[in-house]
This record gives sequence, structure tokens and C-alpha cells, in this order.
Amino acid sequence: MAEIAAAPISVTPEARAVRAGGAIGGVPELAKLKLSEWFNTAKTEVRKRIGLTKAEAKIKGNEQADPKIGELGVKVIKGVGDLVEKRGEYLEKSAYSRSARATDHEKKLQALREKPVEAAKKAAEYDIANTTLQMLDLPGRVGPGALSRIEQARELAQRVIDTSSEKWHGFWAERDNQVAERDLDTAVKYGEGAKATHDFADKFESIISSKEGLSKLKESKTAIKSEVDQTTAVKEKLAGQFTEVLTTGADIGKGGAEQIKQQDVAEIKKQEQILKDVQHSVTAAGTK
Amino acid sequence: MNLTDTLKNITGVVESDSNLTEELREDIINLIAEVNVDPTPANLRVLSTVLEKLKDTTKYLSALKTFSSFESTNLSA
Repeated sequence: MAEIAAAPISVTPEARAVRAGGAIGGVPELAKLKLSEWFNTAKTEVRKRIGLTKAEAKIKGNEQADPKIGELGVKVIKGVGDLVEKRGEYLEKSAYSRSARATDHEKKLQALREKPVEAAKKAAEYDIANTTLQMLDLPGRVGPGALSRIEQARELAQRVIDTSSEKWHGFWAERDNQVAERDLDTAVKYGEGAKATHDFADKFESIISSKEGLSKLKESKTAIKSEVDQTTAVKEKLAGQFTEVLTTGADIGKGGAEQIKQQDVAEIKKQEQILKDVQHSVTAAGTK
Repeated sequence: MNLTDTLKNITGVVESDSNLTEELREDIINLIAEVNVDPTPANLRVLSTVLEKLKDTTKYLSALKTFSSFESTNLSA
């Protein structure tokens, strides 16, 4: 069977290290962690790298500032800390949800991949059944016509019995009759086995040739493909949101989203420098 | 651009930032307003510290969001 849908992108440890490290400013060990560990470390790193504790201490240490402004500043910093905590928890839950969905996709795909294996197993049984018939020296192979040949064997045996009864009496007749009955029993025994094999073959052939069965399989494939496509769309949307949010974050110091069109890492760094310059200019303006 | 205009622009950006909670947004706007009334160097330093942390928070959270999405997908396999 052709490949049903693209398998999840295989990311090498090296690639993940670069990606995860870049996510929070250089933490390559994140790439080695499981999802829960990844989040615990990532959240800790985020809190550490934002430096809220230091910022709060810095504001509290600014004794020349208006106490009311100092309190407001500390309140905002604490609020930012709460935001980080809540957003982190939300992201973690979302990630587990996505993880579960991805696992479900994988299971569905695996189930579809296993179907040909099941068919192959049945085909192997089919071959074994035919081989068995040949070993028993029964005529034909499993499939249409086998039953008629079995019936012919039954009739032949019965004719031997009938003929024996009519032509011979006494011991020899009885003996022939016994032989004929034994032949009949053998024929019946083989016939039942062959019939069971024949039924199995018919069932197998009906599954293989059923348009409805193939149609259902095709529908399942389409549904899985659609779900995979939707997952990809969500990823792309998140990437778009990332750019948008990052732009807004960088704009806070500059004042005006329309002034910044970030396209790449170099541009982000440039914006951060602009922000610092603006903050310095704000401070400098206050000293005049 | 003078200080008042700069602070006005920053207020506008904060008001439109959907990533912030309503309470946090109001606190930041109040802080900016207070600093605008009394823009001493010490008060401006408080505001500068807050804005810097706000920028870092937004940047790191957005990064965490994006990459957690990739991790959740790839690690589930």
C-alpha cells in the first residue's frame, strides 16, 4: 500500500537543540528532555532570563523614586510574574493536548499501516490451506469449485457402498461395505476441512473485493490526511502569532508597531537596541 | 519627540497589547501616567525597568509558546 500520509517530521537531536536553545536564549539541554521536563526547565529558564526578581529589587532599591511609583512598579513586576506563571501553565496544558492529538494521529496511521499486514497474514493462511489440500491429495485448490469436487468425492464413495451392497453379500460384501464406509468417512472428514477452508477463502475474497470495504478504507485515509493538514495549519498560525507578539513586545519601548517591520533575527536584535536607546533617551529626557 | 509624546505612544501600545491581563494593563497605564506627572530621573528609571521586563516577558513567552508547540508534536511520537 502506498504511504497514507506524511509521518511526523523527524527532528534530529541537533536540530532540536538549536531550535529549543534559540527559543529561550540558549538552553541546548532542553533538546534532551521529555515534554514535562522540557516545560519545567523552560518555565524556570524563562523566569530566570526575564529577571523579575532582580527588577523588583532594583525598583525597591531606587529610594529616590516616588514611593507611589515604586509601589506601582513592583505591582506591575509581580503582575508580569503571575502572567508568566499562568501563561506557562496554559501553554503546558495546550502542549499536552496537542501531544495527545498527535499520538492519536500516529495510532490511526499505524492502524492503517497494519491493515496490509493483516491481509498478508490471511493470504499466508490461504496458501497454507491450499498446500494442506494438496498434501491430502484432495482435488483442486480452495476457491470456487472446491465444494463441487468434494461433493463428487462423496457421491463416488456412496456409489461404492451402494454397488457393494447390491453385488456382494456375506463377508466380502460386508468387508467392501466397511471399506466403502471408511472411504466415505474419510471423504466427509476431508470434505469438512476443505469446506471450512473454502468458507474462509470466500470470506477473505469478499473482504478483498468489497467495494464498500475499500471505500471505507479510502475515507479513513482522507480523514487522517485532513487532520494532519489541520495540525500543520495550527503550527503555521502559531508561528504567525509568534512574529506578531514579538513585534509588539519590541515596540513597547519604541512606541509604534508600524515603525518596525521585523523580518529576521538581525532585525530583532536591531529592535532591541532601538528599545534600549529609547529607554536611555527617556531617562536622559527626565534628567533635563 | 518630547517625553509626554513618548509616554503617550507607549500607553497606546500597552492598551492594544492583548497579551496582558486587564488588571496588569491598567497598572502599567497608571504607572506611565504617574511618571508623566512627575518625570524625575528616579521615577523614569522605575518605568524603564518595568518596560524592559515587559518586553522580555513578551519575547520569551512568545518563544516558549511557539517552540512548545513543536516540542509537543515531536515528543509525542
